[in-house]
Amino acid sequence: MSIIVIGSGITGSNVALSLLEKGKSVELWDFGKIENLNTTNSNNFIDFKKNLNNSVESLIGKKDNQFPSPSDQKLFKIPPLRNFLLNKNEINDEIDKLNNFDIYQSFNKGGLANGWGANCVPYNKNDINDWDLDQEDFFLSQKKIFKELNVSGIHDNINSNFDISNFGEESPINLDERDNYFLKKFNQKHNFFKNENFEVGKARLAIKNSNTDDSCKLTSRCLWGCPQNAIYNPLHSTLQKCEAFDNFTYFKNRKVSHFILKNSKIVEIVFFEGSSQKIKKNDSKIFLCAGTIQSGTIFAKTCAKNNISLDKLTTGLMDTKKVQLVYFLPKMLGKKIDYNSIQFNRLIGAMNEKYENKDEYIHLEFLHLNSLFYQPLINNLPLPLKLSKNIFYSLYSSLGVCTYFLPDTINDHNKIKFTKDNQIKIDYKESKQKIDLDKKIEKRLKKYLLKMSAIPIKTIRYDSGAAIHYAGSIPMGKNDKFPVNSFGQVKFIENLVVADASIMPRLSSKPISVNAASLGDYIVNKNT
Amino acid sequence: MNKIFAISNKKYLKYVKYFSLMENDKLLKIANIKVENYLKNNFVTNTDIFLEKCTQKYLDIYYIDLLSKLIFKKSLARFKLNLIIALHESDFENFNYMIDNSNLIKIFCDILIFGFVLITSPLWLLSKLVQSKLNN
Repeated sequence: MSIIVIGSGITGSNVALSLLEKGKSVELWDFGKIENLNTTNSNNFIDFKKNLNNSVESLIGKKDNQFPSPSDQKLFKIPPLRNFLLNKNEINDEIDKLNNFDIYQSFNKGGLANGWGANCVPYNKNDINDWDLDQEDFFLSQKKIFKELNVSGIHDNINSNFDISNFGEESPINLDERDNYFLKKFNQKHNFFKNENFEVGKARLAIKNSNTDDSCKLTSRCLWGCPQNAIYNPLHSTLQKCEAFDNFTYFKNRKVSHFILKNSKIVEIVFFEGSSQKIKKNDSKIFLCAGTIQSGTIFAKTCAKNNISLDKLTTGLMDTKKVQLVYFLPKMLGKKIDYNSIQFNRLIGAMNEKYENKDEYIHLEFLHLNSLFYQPLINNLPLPLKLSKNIFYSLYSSLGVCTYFLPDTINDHNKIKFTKDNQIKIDYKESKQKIDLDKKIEKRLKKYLLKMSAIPIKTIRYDSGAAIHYAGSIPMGKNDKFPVNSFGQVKFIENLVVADASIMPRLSSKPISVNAASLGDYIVNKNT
Repeated sequence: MNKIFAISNKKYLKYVKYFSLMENDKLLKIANIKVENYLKNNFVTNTDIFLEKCTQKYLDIYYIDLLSKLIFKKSLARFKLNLIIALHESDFENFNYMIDNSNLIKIFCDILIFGFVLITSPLWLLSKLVQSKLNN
C-alpha cells in the first residue's frame, strides 16, 4: 500500500525520497504548477536584461498592482517575470481575511524553492531543546539533508562561537570586492565584536559550486531564474531522484481540501482537481507536508468538518519577521559593479539576544547590490526622488542591505482559523517582546555597521509574514494540548503524520527550509 | 482617462529632463496606460487635482518631488514620478545611461537646489493655493 505525501516543496520532496529509500511506495500529491520561464540564456544580468523581449513587462509587470507602489515600504519585490511564484489568485480564492499578515504560498512543483534565497544554517541544541525529540537522530537527518541540498561547508567563528555544525560539503561561493572589504573591516575590529558576541562569515548556500556543468556560473541571475539550475530546487534534483524509483507516482493538479474521518482514521480525501471537487477513498498513511499555511488550513478544515473542536488544543502561527537596514560603504564609492557574482546574500551574521526567557540566535544576511530592480530602493531613500536617483546611481556600488530575522513563539492570538461560514481567516499580531527585540537588534546593528565603516541610512520593517518562514500551525509536544506528538503523529487521527514546519513549537530566526526538511526526514525515520 | 492626469508629450519631456533620462515614446505610452489603470483602481482626491494643476513649469517638479516625499506621500503626483523612474530603469538603454550620467557634481548641485526648494516650498505652496482660489 502506498504512503501519500502531500506537497512537493523542499520538505515534501525530501520526505518522499526518504520514504522511497526505505522501500516504501509513495504517491506524491501536489497542485504542481510549473514555471514557464521564457528568458534567453545569457552570461550575466546585463546581457539578460538586454535580451528580454519586453523588459518593462518582465520587470514592472502588465498590471498596475505589480508596479511597486510609492507608498510601499518594500525594498524588493518578486519580479513580474517570476510572478508565478506569488500565486496571489489562489491565495485570494482561499483565504478570506489576512489580519496583519502578508502571506506568500506556493502551489508549484518544488514549492517556494523555485525562488528561495538558498541560505542554510542548521538548528542546534538550543533551537530544538523544547521540541521533545531525539536530538542526535535529528542531527543525523540534518547532515543528510545538507548533503542533498549541496550546502557549502564553512569553518569559521560562527561555527565555533554559536555552536553551529558544519554539515555542508559543497565549495563555498566566492566573495566579491565589496564583500571582502566588509569582511576585512569586520576582522580588523574582531576583538570588539567578539566581546559583543557578534560574528560575520560566508553564507552557507544551497548552491552547486564544484565546476560541473550545472554548477554556479556567477551570472547574477539568481533572482531571475538561474540558467544553470545551480541553486537547489527539488524540481531539478530530489523530485528527479524520486521519479527514478518504480514505486513512486506523482499526481499533479491535486489540491487537498480536507479529510473525512471515521473511527479516528482518514477514510476519504477531499481534493480539487482543477475546479472540480473530488473524493478518494483512503486506507493509506498520509504525510502532510504542504507547508505551514496549507497544512494548517487542511488541518483546521478537517477538524471543523469532522466536528473536532480545536478550542482546547494549542494551534498557532509563527513567522521570522524580517527587517532591512540599508547602509553605505564610503570606501567602495565609484567601484565597478561585479556582475560576475551571485545575487544572493554572500555574507551572513550571527548574534545572540534574549527573547522570551531564552538566549536566541539572531540570523543576519548582508547583500551588496548587483542585479536587482532598484526603483523601490530609490523611492525609500529619505530624499526627493531626483536626488535619491542621482545619489543611488552614483553610489550604488557602495550600498548594501543588512536583513535580520526575528524568532517567534506560539501565542493564543496568532493562528489559522476555519470559520463557521466556511472561510479561512488568519490572525496575527506582533507581541510587545518581539517589537522590543527588534529595536534592541536595530540599535546594536547600527553601532556595529559604524564600527565596520558602513553608514546606516534607513531601516525598513516588513509586515509579519513577508519573511516566508512560517511555522507552528499544528505544533508538537508531550502535553495533551498539543495536537501532534514528537513523531509527527496527529494524536487523534491514526493515519495522519505531519512532517513539515507546521509542527515546530518554537521558531528560531535561522532560515527555516533546510531545518524543516531535516525535521521531515527525522519524522520519516521515526514512522518507518 | 481624465485628460488632466494624462502625461502629455510636453510634460514627459520635462520629467525626462528633470531626471536626466533618455526620451522614449514607447515608455510614455506605457506610462499613460499605467496612470489610466491607477485611476481605475484608486480614488482621485482634491489633492491629486491640485498637485496636477501645480505641475505646469519645469521648476514646479522640484517642489512636487520634495513635497510628495514629505507630505503628499500617497498622491498621484508621487506615483507618476516613481513610474517614470521605474519605466526607464526597466529599459536597458536608459538603465546604462542612468549609471553613466550620475556623478557627485550633479548630487552637489541637487543638494543646493533642494536646499533652496525646501526653504521656499511654503511660499510656493501658498502661491499655488492662492492661484488655485483665484482661478476658481
